[in-house]
Amino acid sequence: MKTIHEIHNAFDLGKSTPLELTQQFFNQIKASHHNAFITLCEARALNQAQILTDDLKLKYNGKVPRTEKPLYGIPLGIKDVLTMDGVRTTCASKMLENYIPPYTATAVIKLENAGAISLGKLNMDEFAMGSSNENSAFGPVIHPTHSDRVPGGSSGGSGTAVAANLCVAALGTDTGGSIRLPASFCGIVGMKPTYGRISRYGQIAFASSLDQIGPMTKTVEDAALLCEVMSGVDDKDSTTADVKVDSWFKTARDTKVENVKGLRVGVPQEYFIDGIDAEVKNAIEGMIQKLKAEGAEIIPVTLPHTQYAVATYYVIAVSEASSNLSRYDGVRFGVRPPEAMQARTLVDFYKKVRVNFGSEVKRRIILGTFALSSGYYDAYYRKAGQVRRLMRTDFENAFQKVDVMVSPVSPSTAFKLGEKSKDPLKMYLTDIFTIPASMAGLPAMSVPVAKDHQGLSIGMHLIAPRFNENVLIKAARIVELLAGDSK
Amino acid sequence: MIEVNAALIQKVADLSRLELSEQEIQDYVKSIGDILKHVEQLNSINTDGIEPMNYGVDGGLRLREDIVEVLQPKQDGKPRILESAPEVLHDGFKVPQMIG
Amino acid sequence: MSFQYLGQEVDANTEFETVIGLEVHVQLATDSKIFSKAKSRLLEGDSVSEESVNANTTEICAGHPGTLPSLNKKAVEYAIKAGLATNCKINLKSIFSRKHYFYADLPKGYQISQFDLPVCEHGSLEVELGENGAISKKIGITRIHMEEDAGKSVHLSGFSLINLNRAGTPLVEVVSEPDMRTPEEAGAYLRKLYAIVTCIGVCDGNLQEGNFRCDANVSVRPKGSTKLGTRTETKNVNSFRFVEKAIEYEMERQRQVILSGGKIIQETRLYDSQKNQTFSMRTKEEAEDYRYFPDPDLPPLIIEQSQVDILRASLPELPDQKRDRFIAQFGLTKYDATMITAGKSLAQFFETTVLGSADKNFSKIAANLLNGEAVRLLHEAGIEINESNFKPQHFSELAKMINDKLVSSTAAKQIIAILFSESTPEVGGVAGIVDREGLKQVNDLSALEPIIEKIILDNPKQAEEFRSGKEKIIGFFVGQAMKATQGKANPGMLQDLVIKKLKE
Repeated sequence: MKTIHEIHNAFDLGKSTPLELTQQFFNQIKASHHNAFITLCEARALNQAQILTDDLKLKYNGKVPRTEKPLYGIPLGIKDVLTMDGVRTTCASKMLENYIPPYTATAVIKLENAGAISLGKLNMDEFAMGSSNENSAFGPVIHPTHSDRVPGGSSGGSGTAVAANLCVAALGTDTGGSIRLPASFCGIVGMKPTYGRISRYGQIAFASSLDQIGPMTKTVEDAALLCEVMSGVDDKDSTTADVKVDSWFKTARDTKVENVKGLRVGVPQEYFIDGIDAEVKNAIEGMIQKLKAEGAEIIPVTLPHTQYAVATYYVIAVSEASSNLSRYDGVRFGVRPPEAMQARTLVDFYKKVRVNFGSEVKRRIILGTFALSSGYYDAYYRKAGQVRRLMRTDFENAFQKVDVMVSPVSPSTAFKLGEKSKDPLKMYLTDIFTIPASMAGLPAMSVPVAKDHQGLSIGMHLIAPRFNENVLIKAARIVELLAGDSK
Repeated sequence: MIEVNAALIQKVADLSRLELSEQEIQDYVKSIGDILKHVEQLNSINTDGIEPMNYGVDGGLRLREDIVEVLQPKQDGKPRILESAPEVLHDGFKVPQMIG
Repeated sequence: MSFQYLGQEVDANTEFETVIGLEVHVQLATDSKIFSKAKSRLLEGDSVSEESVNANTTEICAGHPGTLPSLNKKAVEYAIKAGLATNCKINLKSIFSRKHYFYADLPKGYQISQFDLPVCEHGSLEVELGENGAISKKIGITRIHMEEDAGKSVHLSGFSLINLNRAGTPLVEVVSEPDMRTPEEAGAYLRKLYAIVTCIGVCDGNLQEGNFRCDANVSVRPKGSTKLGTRTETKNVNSFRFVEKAIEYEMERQRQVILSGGKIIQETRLYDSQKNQTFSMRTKEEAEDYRYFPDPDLPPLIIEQSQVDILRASLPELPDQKRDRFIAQFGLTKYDATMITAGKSLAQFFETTVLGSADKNFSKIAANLLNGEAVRLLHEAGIEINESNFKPQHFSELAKMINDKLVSSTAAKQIIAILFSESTPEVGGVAGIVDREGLKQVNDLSALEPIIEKIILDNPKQAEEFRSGKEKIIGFFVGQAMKATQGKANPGMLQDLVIKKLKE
C-alpha cells in the first residue's frame, strides 16, 4: 500500500483509516533520522484525519468519494516554502524562524479541499537556494538510503520524505531543478508543470519568473493526480494561465507501453556531453533503446544555447531573488535580533536584521543586486533575458519535430555531503540539464529508471511543450512501465 | 570584464543592506568573481534586436474586479497582521528612530 | 559683482526666468487597493474608527512572504480616464516595474511603479492666466503612470511607528513638462488638473488626506537662455497656495545663491509652511540606485483600443467644456466660470442653484455669491460645498432677493455666514434670516439725509476734494454712510444720494 489508489482501496475495504494512516506516518517520521521535517503539525493533521475518518463512515458509507475528493485522507508533506495559516513557515531560514503566516498558499488550500492531510513542513535549502539541501538553517537533510549522500536540493526534505515513506507524497518547488534533481537523487517521481499552471500565491518567492510548485511522488499516476488538483487559474496570481486542465490522472492510469508507438522522442545532443557519469549515460541511453524497441521514433535534436543555461539562469534568478528578499527587514514579520533596536540609523537596523540570512542567500543577493545596479543592468540582467529568449526559441524549434524530449536529470547520481559546498559554481553546474526547461517555462519530469553500482538512483528527465502536461505524463508513465523493477 | 574586488563587494553589500565579515568578503570576491567570469561567455552571443524574456508567461495581465475583502481581525479586535510583528506599539509596527 | 551661470555673465541686474515642472500624485478613488483587496478608502457607512492603525492592512499590503500583486481593473480604468481627460496618448501596452529602496514604511523593499512604458504619455492641459483668466497657456504632460503608495510613519522620540493602511493605495503620478515659468502658472496648472481629476470622478480630491500631492521641480536661468539650470525638487506639498509659495521662495533662493557665486545643488527639499521656506533634506552621499526592472509577477498590461473608446465615451463634461458652457448659457465671466468649475461639487451646486433661470443677471449674482464669501468659508473649514450646510435653494433665494434689491450685497455676506453656521430650512430659509436679523435692504433713504449731511460737514477736506474733481473720494462717503445703516442701505441708491448732497 503505497500509492493514493492503493490507499483508497484499503480505506474502502476498511483495512485502514485516514486517522490510522496519519498516526502511522507520524510514528515513522519520529523514528526517522533524515531531518526531513522542520515543523510537524500533528494536532492539526490528526484533527483533520479524525474528521475525514468519521465522515468516511457516516457521510460516505465507507466508500472514498474519489471524484469529489480525489485526495481523501491522503497524508502529504509540504515543503516549508509554502505558507499555511497558523503553521510556522520558515523557508529553512533563521530569518523566518518564528514566522507564522496569516494565510494559506492556494496550492495547499486546493489539496486540503480535495481531502489531503498536511503532516508538516519539509526541510529544504534556505529560500530554495541550493542543489544539495546543505543550505538549511535547520541542518542538512540526509539521503533516504545513503547517509553520507545529499538528497539533492532544494526540495531535499520532500525527496527524502517520500522515498523514506514518511508521507504518501510531497510538494516541492522548482526554480532551476529543485524538484527534479532531488527526485532523481532519491529515486522518486518529480514533476514541474508548465510555468503558470499552479498558483504561486503563498509560495515564498525565490525567482518569480521561474518558480513553480509541483508534486514529488512514488508514481507517475500520483504526480498526475496531485498536479491536476493543484492546477488552474488563480485571481491572486496574475501569472497563472487560463488553460484547460486535462484529466492527467486518467492519462497516467490508462497509458500502456504500446501507446509509445509513433511517439516522437527527441534526444538533445547537448545533453550527452563529456563529463556525464558513464553509468548515468548508459542508463539513459538504455532507456532510449527500450523506447525505440517498443516503437517510439527516436529523433536527435539540438538546443544550441544549452551551454549558456547556467550563466543565464544565475543572472536572472539572483536578480529576481535580490529583489524578492528585500522585504526581510524585521519590521512586520520574522526574527529581529535584540541589538537591532539599538541601531542608530535605519541602514544599521537593516544590517543587524539581515545578518540572519545564510551565506549562500547573501551571495545571491549580492550577485543579483549587482546585476540590476545602475551601469550593469544592460550587460547582465537585460542580456540574460535576451539569451533566455533564444533558449526558449531553441525549444520551440526542436518541438516542431518531436513530442517530448529525454535526457539525464543530472550529470551524476547523489554526491557526498560537503563534496561541492565549497565551490558554488561547481554546485550550480549540477543543474545544467534541468535549468533550460525552467528558463523556457516548460513542463518537465524526473522518473527513476535505474540504479548505479552503489545503489544510487538515476532519473530520466522528460520535457514537453508548454501546457502539454498530457504528453509528458503519457511518456513518463511509459518510461515508468519500461523501467519496471530496474529502478 | 569587471574586476571583482573587496571594494565592489562592500559597495553592493551596502546597497543590499548586508553586513559582511572580512572572511565573507574574501569568500564572495572569489566565488562571485568565478561566477561572473562564467557569465562573461554570454557576451559571445549576438542578441541584437532580441526582446528580453522577462516573464514566465506570455500574454497580458489579467485584471481583478474592485472588490473589498478584509483580513478578519483577531477576537480582541486587534488587526491580525500584527500577530507576526516583532514589536508593536499602539497597533503600529515599531522600528528605531528612522531619521538618518 | 558678476558671476558665470549657464555660460553667461550674471549680476544683480540680470533678469531671471524660472522653469517649473510638477509631479502630482493623485490618489485614485477605488474601493480596494491597487494590488490587493484590502480597503483603500472609507466607504459609505464606515465609521472613522475602521481606519484605526493597520486595520486595513492585509498580508499583501504588509508584503508578507509568498504574497503576490493582482491589479485592480478600476484603477486601470481611472488611470486611462485621467489620461484621456488630459489629452494623453494611451499606451496599449504598458509595464510595471519594481523600484527598490529600503525604508521602514515601504513593505516589500520595492515600490511597484511604471518606468519604461507608462500607461499614458504626451498629454497637455490648458490653463487660464492673467486678470479674468484672459490668457490661455498650454502645459505639456510628459506621462501619467500608475503606482502603489507607501505606508505612513509617525516619528516619536527614539522610535517610529508604521501604519500600513495607506500602503498599496492606488496612485497615478502625473508628470508635467517643464513648461511653467511663474508660481501663478504652477498654481493654475494644479487647480486645473485638480478640477479635471475630481470632475471625472477618479479622485476624491481630499487635500487634507493627501489625495492630491505635489512635488515641484524648480530651476532658474537668465531670461532668454535656452539651457536648463540645476533643479531642486520640493516634495509633498499638499496645498495649491503652498506650492506657489514654495516655488516663490525657491526661485528667489536660487537667484541669491547664483548671485553670491554659489552653486545650486540638485537635491530634494521640503517646504515648511510655518516659516514659508524650503530646506534641504539630508543630502545623500551618492545618488539612489533604484535598480528598476520589470516586475516578473505582473505581465505587461495590455489594453484594447475598444476599451479606451468606451472609457472616452464615458467621460463627463470636462471643466473646460463646462466653463465654456457656463459662459454661454449663464453669461458668466471667464474668471467666474473657471472658478465655479474648479471643483466638481461646486459646479453641480451652481447648476442646481440657477436651475431653470434664463436671467443672466441672476446667474451672475449667484456665481458671485458662491465664488466669494461661500468659497472663502468652505476653504477655511476645509470642506466641500456638498458637505456643508449650504443648499442650492438658499443661494437661489438669496440671489433672487439681491436681484430684486431686497437685500444688499453687504447683508448677503452676513446671511451666507449664518447659512454656513446653522442648518436653515431649504424653502424660505433666507427670508427667515432676513426678517430675524433685520437685514432687509433700506430703499427709502430719506431718513438718512441728515446723517449724510453731517458726514459731509465733519469732513470738509474730502468734500472739497470731490468738488474739485477727485470723484474717487465718493467711496469714502458711501462707506461712512453705509456703516451708519449697518450695511442695509441699497448701495446704488446710497451713492446717488451722497453725490446729490455733495453737489448741493
